[in-house]
Amino acid sequence: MSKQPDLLQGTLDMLILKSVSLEAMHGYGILLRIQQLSEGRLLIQQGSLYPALYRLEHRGLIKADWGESENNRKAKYYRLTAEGRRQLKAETDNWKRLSDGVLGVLKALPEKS
Amino acid sequence: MSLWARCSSLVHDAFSRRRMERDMDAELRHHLSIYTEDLVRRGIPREQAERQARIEFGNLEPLKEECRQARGLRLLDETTQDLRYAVRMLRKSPGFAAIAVLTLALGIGANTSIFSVVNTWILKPLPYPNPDQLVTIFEIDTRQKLAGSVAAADLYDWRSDREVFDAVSAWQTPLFTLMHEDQPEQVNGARVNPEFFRILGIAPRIGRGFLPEEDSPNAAPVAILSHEFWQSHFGGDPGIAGKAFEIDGRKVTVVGILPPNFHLSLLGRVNIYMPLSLTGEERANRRSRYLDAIARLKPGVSFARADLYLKTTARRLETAYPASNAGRSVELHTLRDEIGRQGGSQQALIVFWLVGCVLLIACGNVANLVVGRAVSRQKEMAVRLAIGAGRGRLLRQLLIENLVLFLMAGALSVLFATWGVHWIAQAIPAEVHQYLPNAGVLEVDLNTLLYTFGIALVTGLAFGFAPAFRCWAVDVNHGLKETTSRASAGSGGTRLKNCLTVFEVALAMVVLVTAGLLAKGLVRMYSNDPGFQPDGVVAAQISLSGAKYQDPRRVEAFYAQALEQVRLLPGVTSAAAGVLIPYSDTGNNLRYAVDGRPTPAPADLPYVRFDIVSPGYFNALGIALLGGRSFSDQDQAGSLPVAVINQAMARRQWPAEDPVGKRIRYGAKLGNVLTIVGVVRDTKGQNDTDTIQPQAYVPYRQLPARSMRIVLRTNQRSEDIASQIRHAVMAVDKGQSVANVQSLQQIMAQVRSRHVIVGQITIFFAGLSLFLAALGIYGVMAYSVTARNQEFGIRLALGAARSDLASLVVGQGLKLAIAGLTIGLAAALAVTRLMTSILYQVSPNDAATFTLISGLLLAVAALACYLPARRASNVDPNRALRYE
Repeated sequence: MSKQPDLLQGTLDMLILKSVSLEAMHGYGILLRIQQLSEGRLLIQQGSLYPALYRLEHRGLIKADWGESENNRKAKYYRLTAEGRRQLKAETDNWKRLSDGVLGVLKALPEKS
Repeated sequence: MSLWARCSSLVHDAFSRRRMERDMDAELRHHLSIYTEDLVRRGIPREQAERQARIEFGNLEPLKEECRQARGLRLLDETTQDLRYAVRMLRKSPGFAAIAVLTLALGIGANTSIFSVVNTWILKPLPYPNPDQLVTIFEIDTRQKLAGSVAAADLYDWRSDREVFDAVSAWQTPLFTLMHEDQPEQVNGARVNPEFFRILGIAPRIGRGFLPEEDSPNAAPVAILSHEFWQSHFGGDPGIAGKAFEIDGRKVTVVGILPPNFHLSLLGRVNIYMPLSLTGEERANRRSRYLDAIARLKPGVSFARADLYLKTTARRLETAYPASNAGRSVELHTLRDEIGRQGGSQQALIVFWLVGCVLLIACGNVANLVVGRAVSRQKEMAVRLAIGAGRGRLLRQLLIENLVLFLMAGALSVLFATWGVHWIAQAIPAEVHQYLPNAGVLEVDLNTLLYTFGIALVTGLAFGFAPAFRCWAVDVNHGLKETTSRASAGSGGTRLKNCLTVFEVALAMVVLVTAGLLAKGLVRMYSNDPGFQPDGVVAAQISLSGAKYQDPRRVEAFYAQALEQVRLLPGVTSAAAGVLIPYSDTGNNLRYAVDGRPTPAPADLPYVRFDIVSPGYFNALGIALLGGRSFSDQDQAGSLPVAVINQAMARRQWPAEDPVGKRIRYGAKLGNVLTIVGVVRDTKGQNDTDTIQPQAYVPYRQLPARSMRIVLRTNQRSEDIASQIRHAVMAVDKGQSVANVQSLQQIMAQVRSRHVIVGQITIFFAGLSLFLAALGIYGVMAYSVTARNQEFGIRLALGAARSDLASLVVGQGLKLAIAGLTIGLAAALAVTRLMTSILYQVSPNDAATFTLISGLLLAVAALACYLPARRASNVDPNRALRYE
């Protein structure tokens, strides 16, 4: 099993926000969605998802409602709030700037002397 | 926004805690089951799938805890835990809890009751719109520094000058005689300009205010009644506007009723308002100053600008009218300050600071107890640290314990405060209430309760911090190794306790010295000879009204007959009448010149307090005649105008001569001459504090006055004789009545009530702080004796005498007391200077009081050390040494 890249602090929050921005979904769904979108490159520890969800809800970035899940059970569905949408946009912009910067550094070719 | 979201989510969770836990559980279970199903679908046997899901998910409990923490619930949980623990700890030591809570409750309760006075009378905004624009205007004599009423002509100048004032109104508070159900009744009234109500922002509830044209002697007289008077005398008749009643012998039409509870404490309780209605001649008078003035500043005009503007105008008037206005200037007071000054806000504030000291002493005591407990719990703390409690958590827990203590005290203190407020309210004589802000009513309102719990919280935190911090700094290694008794002897705790004790003694010293000075003043006030004999004298106010009393001869005849009538009443030994009686009236100051000496410039003419009395007045009041003669019925219109003067006047003008036979001149162009025929003793003027002014008495037959007070020496009580006096007066003229029938003792008690109440409160609190400080010294010494038990045992074993140990303890206690005393002395010296306004004939650094109080404090401190000292001297060396 290849070593999975560590998620940077705060990255998980951003991924969750992105996932629920597409449609309201429950915790397991979010997990699957992230795996699917990252084509299996990002694996998230099952348990670590929930504290993150609770933290985001506490900060008012996402909101939860109870609904029916695919197997006809009650599940908690999370969706993005307006505040969360703003936060997601800010974080995405930030991330872009950061990764562009990092990539720029990494792509530098040795100078010809 | 985000903070709001967090708080609301926390509050929501805290209140629906069960549901939140259930939801969390359900959510996690749902995840597990759906994941398991996924695994099964991938072909893993169900049993194995369940196992794998669980393993991958990790341990549930720490996860849940993490979730709770993510929602900020952990802090809440721990705080609840701390609270429970705190209550349990306090329940385990009920003695400590009871003493601490009671001490604090006394301190906080004392504070709260005084705060409710400060709050109701000083802090609450005046009940008028834009009260900051309201001012009162005084005219002052710039050379003799006398502030007082204003002259009509000056007032009308300001009224027509729109530079700084929105409106200006004069006010006077005469007694009106109302014929009510065929009985004359004297009613407290006021004469004001029509703008008066507009200035205060009050519109009549029924009818209308005064019209400008009604403020004239030629207009048909109109009146506005207070709501309360309308209710009590006219049964709240809704159709009263337009009805006419006989007031002062004229038909007066009621045009309006004021809203309920309208009250301006400067005027007292006024029931009938009428227009000022000055004649043109009166309006032009710049000489007699008999009006009080209230005004509203124009919006945007600052107090300072208005004051400056008036002073500039006054300087212009000085040059324009040197005869009347030379040496005169104007002073503005904000209405708020003036009401506060007359209502005693200064006294209230000083007492407020003093009870602040009492509270600090109480807090010091409790902090001492808490330090004691904290030190003995050092081991507990060390153990808890050793098994992994965070230091921050320990600190928080100790602070919460302390807060519980203080908040319990806060709750109990509401009870003490209610008693305190009740006591103060009943201590103020009923007659004084109407001159106090808020009509003297005191309330424990929401502000007061907020204040109570605010100080409980603040003091709880402040005084909980030091002891808690000591525990925080516990060295685990050290703390675990030490036995309890040794640990408690640690020097840090002792030093903190000593400091607290010194601090308490110093504060107690300040309160005690203040109380001592006030007590000395009170004793002086009561033992001072007022210059007359108030016992058994009853006074009744008469204000003759009606057209017929425009004739001075009718006035003279009325009083002559009325006095004859009241002399016939049972138990009356003498009766007389006077315009100014001691402790009642401000008096009428006139400028005069001594006949036969060069007349000074008008502004330099001295003042004399001018009184008009009937023959027998000095006799009835017990004022001793020192030289010459008093008045007789032969001093009448047409005979030589005579005067009797007091000692102050004699000393001032004729220090080395006999004033009898000398003459003074007064009045317009000083054309009126009086020949002095006698000298009487000085009597107190309006109150105890003012210096006695030069005073001249003239006989009423030569200068009849319509408003006088009848004084009679009798063995009857004022309540019993009041109706008899009323009937006697009505027998002379059935249209006249009397008001304010009171004994001179009652009148003096009212005037002195402020001093007495402040004195009593302060003395009570001084006693309390002395007791608390003694308790503090006792506590710290008792504690130290216990801690040094072993040391004392060794000392005894090595041959120390038992008395040595006792004196060691007493010496140590006294050292603390003396340190506190010294600091307290310095502080008291600095502080009492600020209290001169409430001290009566006592210097703020009166040596005798300071010495006496120091002695008292030392004696009490020695007494407080006595019990611990005895215990020290009774130490059994055998047991003390074996104890370890």
